[in-house]
Amino acid sequence: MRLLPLGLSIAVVISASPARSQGQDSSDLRAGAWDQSVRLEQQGKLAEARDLLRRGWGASDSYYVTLRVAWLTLQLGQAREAIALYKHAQTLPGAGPETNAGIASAWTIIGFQELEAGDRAKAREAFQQALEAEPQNAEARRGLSLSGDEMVISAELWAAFVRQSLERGGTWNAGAGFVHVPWKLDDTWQLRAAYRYFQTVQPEGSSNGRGPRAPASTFSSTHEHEIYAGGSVRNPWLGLELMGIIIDSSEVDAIAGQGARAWIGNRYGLSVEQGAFNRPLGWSHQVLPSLYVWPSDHVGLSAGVRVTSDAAGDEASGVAGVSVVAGAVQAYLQGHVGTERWPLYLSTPSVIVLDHDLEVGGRGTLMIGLSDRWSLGIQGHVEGIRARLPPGAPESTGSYLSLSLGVQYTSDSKGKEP
Amino acid sequence: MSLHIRSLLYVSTLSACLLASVGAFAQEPSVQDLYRTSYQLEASGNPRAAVEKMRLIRAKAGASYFVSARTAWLLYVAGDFEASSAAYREAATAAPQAIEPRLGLTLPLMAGQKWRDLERACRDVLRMDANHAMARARLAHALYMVGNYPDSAALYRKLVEEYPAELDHQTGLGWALTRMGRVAEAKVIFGKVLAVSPDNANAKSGMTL
Repeated sequence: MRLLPLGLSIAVVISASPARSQGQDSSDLRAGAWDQSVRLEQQGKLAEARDLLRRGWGASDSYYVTLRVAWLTLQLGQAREAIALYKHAQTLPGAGPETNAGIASAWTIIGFQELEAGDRAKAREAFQQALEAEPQNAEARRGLSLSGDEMVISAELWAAFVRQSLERGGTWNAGAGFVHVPWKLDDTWQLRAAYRYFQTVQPEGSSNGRGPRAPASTFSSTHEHEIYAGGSVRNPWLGLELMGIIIDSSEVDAIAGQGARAWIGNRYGLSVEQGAFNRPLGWSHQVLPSLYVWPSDHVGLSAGVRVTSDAAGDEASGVAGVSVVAGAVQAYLQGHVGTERWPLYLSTPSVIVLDHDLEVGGRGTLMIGLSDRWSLGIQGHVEGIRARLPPGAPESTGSYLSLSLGVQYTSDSKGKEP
Repeated sequence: MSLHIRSLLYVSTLSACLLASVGAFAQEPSVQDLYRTSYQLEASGNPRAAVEKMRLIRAKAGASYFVSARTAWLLYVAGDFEASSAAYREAATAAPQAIEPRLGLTLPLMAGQKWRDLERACRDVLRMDANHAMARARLAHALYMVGNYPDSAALYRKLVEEYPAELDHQTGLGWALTRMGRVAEAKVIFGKVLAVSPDNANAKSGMTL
């Protein structure tokens, strides 16, 4: 019996309702169905390609048909259904190793879907299932590394130079050191602690806005300790963070404060930051509600209003920011227009401890990944300030500038927090 | 005409008639002779003439299973596949429990490339004998030819397991796998065939894909 070699497949379409209707039996439905299914797939009609085989073979005991239906189901994005089909195929005569590859592919798709949804725990589980089916699956390995470790501890160390100038008030310079340790216990809980040491060097008599003036004859130095400690709880869609703050300056008694942030959403949502400080002249409060959106995996946008209320009055400031993530490089820019006082930045964390009004300003941070775990950072912050002076005193404006360099380490080889 | 001449004419005519009858009686072959002649004609490569003898047998002895079956076979050998198919079907009707005519039917259907009919004929045989190897092999071929590669491959795979030395089953499986895109797997099979049958045309074709 000689079988003639053939080139590309061609077939006769048999499109019909389930077998045995309209006078057709399964033999009629199966004749030519395979080739036609391939043709439909090539035309992008995946569902039709699959349904053609299902009509012919139903709940098939054919390994080849089940394998192909599983493949088409996977291409249609129905990963879990595809896994069930691949597993069924594994029990059929003629089963081969490609079923493991199919199962791995399906689990990998699920893993990336979970990553997209922000659920790292489920993503991790899916990628691990994929690697169980096919240990060398490169995409699953990549996905698992993107999912990050369940527990991650990071540390960053910054050194800053700060300079403030006022028309009437002189100039002072400062140096600061900052260390920040976020500790992600698991996908839900995180603790954070940070410490900043701030030392000013200023001509006597000048004001750093941090306390009483000294006689203008020599340079004086003040120092300040800032301690931040807090924790957060989160899931892919909700989060809450609380933080305690102590600011201990050589010029004034220690100031206690707190910050909080709550957010809802994933790729887009609402975030509300809040801060309060028990300052010498009374409590100051601030709240910053903002909307955020990540129109792509690489760009995030936010906009909100910071409302400040303290002994000096109530102020509002429009705040906007943009984040850009491009491979090993990340950039963050945030600016405001409107008066702010003691603005709290929970992400860092930091407070601009000045008794002046910050009228307009912005800051930018650039992080450059040196390796999977190490990054180098540079940050700049500029503010236009207006000195708070007694009534009748001439206005005094100036600027606040800080420039920082830092390094960051993370135990999570690839995972990046959104 | 004189009485003498009339008598002579009468006797002559009567004699002639008698002689003709005897002659005729002496030339008519028996059914067995017809069978014998049909075998001789078949052996000498003249199936059509053999078919004619079978028709004479049928006319003389009436229709029977054997007449239908042998006629069907001779018609197949003669290349008249339609008539052969009809004769095999007649034989199957005459012997409803017989596998033989149903299996025989597959020959003209295969030769006439009536693949769907061949599929049905093979399944008829398999309903009576589920493990009939030849019927399964011809069914596998029919399924391949109508484009039902999965079922063809499954049948061929089973046949390869049961009759590993039958190279046609292996090349059949190879080609069914090829049509399903499993070329690498098919080439392994073709390679095994060529290892023991270097000039196997089917396997050679398969290796060129």
